[in-house]
Amino acid sequence: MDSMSVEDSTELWKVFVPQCLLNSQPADLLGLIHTKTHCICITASSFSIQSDALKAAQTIQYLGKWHGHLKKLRGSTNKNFCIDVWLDKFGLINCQLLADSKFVPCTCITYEPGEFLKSCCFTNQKGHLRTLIRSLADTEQKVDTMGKELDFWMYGQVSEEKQRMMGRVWMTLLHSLMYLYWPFRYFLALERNFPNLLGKAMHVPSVTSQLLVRSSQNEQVTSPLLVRSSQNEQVTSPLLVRSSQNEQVTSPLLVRSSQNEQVTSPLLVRSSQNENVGYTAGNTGLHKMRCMNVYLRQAIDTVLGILLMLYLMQGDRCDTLAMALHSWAEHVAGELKVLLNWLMGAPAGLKLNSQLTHFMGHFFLYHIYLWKGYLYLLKSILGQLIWYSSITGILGMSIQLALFQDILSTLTIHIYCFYVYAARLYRLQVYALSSLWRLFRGKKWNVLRQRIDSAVYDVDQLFLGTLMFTILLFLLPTTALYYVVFTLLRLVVLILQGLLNKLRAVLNMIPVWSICLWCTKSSLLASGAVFHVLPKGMDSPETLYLSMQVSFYHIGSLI
Amino acid sequence: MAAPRRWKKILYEDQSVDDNYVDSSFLDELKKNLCTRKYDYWTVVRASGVVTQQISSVCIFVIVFIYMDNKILSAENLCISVLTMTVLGYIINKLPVRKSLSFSEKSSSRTILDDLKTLLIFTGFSYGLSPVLVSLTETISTDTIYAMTTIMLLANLLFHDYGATEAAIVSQSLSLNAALFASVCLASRLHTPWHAFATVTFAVQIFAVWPVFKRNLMQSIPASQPVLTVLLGMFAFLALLTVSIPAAILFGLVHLFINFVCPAWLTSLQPYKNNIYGPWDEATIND
Repeated sequence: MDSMSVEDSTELWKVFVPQCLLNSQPADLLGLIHTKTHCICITASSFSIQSDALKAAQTIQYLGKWHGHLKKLRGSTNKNFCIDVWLDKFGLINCQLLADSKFVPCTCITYEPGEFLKSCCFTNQKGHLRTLIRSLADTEQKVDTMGKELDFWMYGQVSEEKQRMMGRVWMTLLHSLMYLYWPFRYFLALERNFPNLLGKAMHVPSVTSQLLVRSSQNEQVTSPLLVRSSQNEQVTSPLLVRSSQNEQVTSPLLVRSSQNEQVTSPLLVRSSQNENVGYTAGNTGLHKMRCMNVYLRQAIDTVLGILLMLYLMQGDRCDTLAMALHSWAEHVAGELKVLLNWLMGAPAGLKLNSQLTHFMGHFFLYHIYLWKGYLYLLKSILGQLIWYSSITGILGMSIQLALFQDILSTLTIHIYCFYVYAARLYRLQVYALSSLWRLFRGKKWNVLRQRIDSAVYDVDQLFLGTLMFTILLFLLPTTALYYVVFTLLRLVVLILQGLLNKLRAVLNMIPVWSICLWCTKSSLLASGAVFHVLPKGMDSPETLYLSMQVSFYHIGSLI
Repeated sequence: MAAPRRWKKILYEDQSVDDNYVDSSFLDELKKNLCTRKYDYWTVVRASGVVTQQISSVCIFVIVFIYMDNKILSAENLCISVLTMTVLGYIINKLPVRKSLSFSEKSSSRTILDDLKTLLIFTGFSYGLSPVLVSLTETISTDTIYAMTTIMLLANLLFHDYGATEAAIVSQSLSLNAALFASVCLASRLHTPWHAFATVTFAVQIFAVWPVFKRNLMQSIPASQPVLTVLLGMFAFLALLTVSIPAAILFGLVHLFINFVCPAWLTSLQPYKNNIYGPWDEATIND
C-alpha cells in the first residue's frame, strides 16, 4: 500500500472511526487502508508510535492524527497520506483526508464496535482474525505468517505486556478491526438467501453522495454497500451486499464468502428434523443459537406430546376414540356404496354405457365388501393401538401426529385403491385411443424421430383399428366419470393429510429461541446497520458524516 | 461509344446499357399452354363414373341398413348374400387375366392363405365384438348417431381415391376408416348382435373388398366401366325409390349432374386456359 493514486479515484473514501476514539486523548491513528474499495479503517491509536511490533505488522499503517478538542494542527506528514480527526468547538466531529498535500473528499462513519461484537450474527469462527489478514494479503504465504504474528501480538503478548503501554482504548480499537467485517459478511450470507436485505430509512436531507462499493465475480471483488439517498424524503436504502465466490476479498470491509463456510440463515437452521446440531464449522454465536433453537423445539414437542399422552391415557378415552374412528370408517364405506350405486345409474343426467358401468360398479362394490371385512378385523385392536402409540408422545407431539397420519392412511386405503384402478384404466384407454386415432388418419408414431409419419396399413389392420377406436371412444365417458369421481375422493384424503403435514412442519421448524430473543430485542440478534447523518463539522463541511448502529431484523425473516 | 453490338442477355459484360434493359426479343421465350390436355366429352363422362359409383355404393349401404332397421331384410339373408357375393367375386378375381400376364404376377403377392387369414380376421372380430357393438350407443340419441354417420360417409366420399395420379387430399385409410366408423355407428342402432355382425361384414365388403375387385375389373376389361356405373346407379335409384321418393329424385339429379353436366362444363372451359411457361419457371427434375 505504498503508492496510492488518489487522483484517479472517482469514488469517495470512507473513513471508519470508532466512537471510543472520540473520548480519548489525542493520539496517532493506525489502521488499514484498502485502495480498491476506498475504505480506511482506524483500528488503533497509540500514544507513541515507536513500538516495533506495530511496525512489523505491515498492513497496519500510520494513518494520521486524532487531535481531540484542540484546534487543528497540521501534523507532520512524512507520508503523502494523512487523516486528521478532531472535534470542533461545537463538539462535532471533523475529519479531513490529505493526500499529496491536497484535500480529498471523504465520508466519515462512526460506529460502536462493542455493539457489533455482541451479536452472534457478526461473529465468526475462531479464525476470524486470520480471515481478516488473509483477506488483506494477496497470497497465502503472507497469511499464515502475518496471522501468526498478529495473533500472537494481539492475544499473546499484547494482553500482558503491551497492555500497560497501550490503554484499554487501544485494545478495543484493535479488536474492533474484525467487527467491521461482520456486518458485511453477514449481509453477504443473507444476500444469498434474501436478495433484498433490510432497508432502513435514512434521513438524508441534502446529500447526494453515495457509498458505493462494487463487486464483481472475478478475483478482485469488492462488496457493495449501496446506500442511495434522495433529496427530501425518507427513503429505504437497501443494503445490497454481493460477494464473490473466491477467497480473495481484499479489504476489511469486504465480505468474503467461500463455499466452505455455510453461513446460511444465521438465525434459523432450515433443515429437516435431523439437523446436524454438532455442526462445528459454523461460528460459535450462531452455533449456540442454533443449538438453543433445537433444544427448545424438542422440549416443547415433548411437553405437548406428554400432555396428549396423559390426556389419552385417562380412563378409556382410547377406546372411545377407537370406536369413533371405526364408526367413521364404516360410515365412509356406506357412503361409497351409495356413490357407486348412483354411478351405476345415470349420474347427474349423464348417459353412461350401462354394461360397462354395471360391470365396474359391481367390481368396486365387491372391493368395499372386502374392505368391510378388514375393518371388522381392525376393530378389536384399534383401541390398544391408539393407547400404545400415544406413549410415543415422550418423543414429541410431532411423532404422535405422524402416527396419526399413518393410521389415517391405513383407514383410507380403499379409496387409494379405487383411485389407482380408475386412473390406470383411464390412462390405458386414453393411450390406446390416441394411438388408434393416428391409425384412423392413416398416420403412425415414429419412435426414432419422435414425430408422426404417414403410414400404409393393411386392410385388416385398418378394419380392426377402426373397430377398436369406435368402441373405446364410446366407452370413454364412462371411464372418465369413474376416474374423476375417485380422483376427487383421493384429493380430499390428500388435503387432510396435507394439513396434518403442515402442522407437523410448523412444530418442527419454529425457531423458538430466536423468537424469544427477538421479542426481548436482545443484542445477540442485531443484524443490520443503520446509518444516521450527523451534523456537519464546522471546519470541514465538505465531508459527509454518518454514524453506524446496529439494527434488528424483521420477525418475518427469522422464519 | 463502341459500335452497337447485338445485345445479349447477360450481365457479366458491360454492354453500356442499364441492367434491366431488354431489347425487342422480350418475351420470346414465353410459351403458352404447353401441357394442356384436350378433353373429349365422352371420355370425361366415362371417367366421372368413378365418383358416381362410390356414391351409389354409399347409398346402397344406407338402404340396406334401412331395410334391416325396418325388418324387411333379415340378418341371415344379408349374411348369406354377402358370403355368396364375396366368394363369387373372389373366384372371378383369381381367374387368370387374359390381357397382360405381368399384371397377374404383380398382384399375386398375396396367397390364398393370406386371403383366408384376412377373411378370418374380418368375420371373427365382427362376430366377437358384435354384442359390444350392439349396446355401444344405447344411451346416445338417434339424431346424434345419424349426424355422425352422415359426416363420416361424406368424409369417405371426400377422401376416396378416385384414380387421379397425385391428389393431395386423398387418404385411402381415412376414407375406409370413416366408412367403417359409420358402419359401426349404424350397427349399434340395430337390435340383435346378428344384425350388427351382418352390417359390419357388409360394410367391409362394400367399402374394402369391392373396390379391389372393381379396380381389377377396370384394368382387365376397360369397357366394363360405364356398364358398372349404370348398373349401380339404377340399382341404387330403384332401391331409393322404395324408401323415399325425394331421396331417389335427388340421387338421380346428382347422378346426372356429376356424369353429364360437369364434363360439359369442364370441356367448355378448356379454351379459356392460359398457362404461361418460360425459363423463369422452377426447374423440374425428370428422370
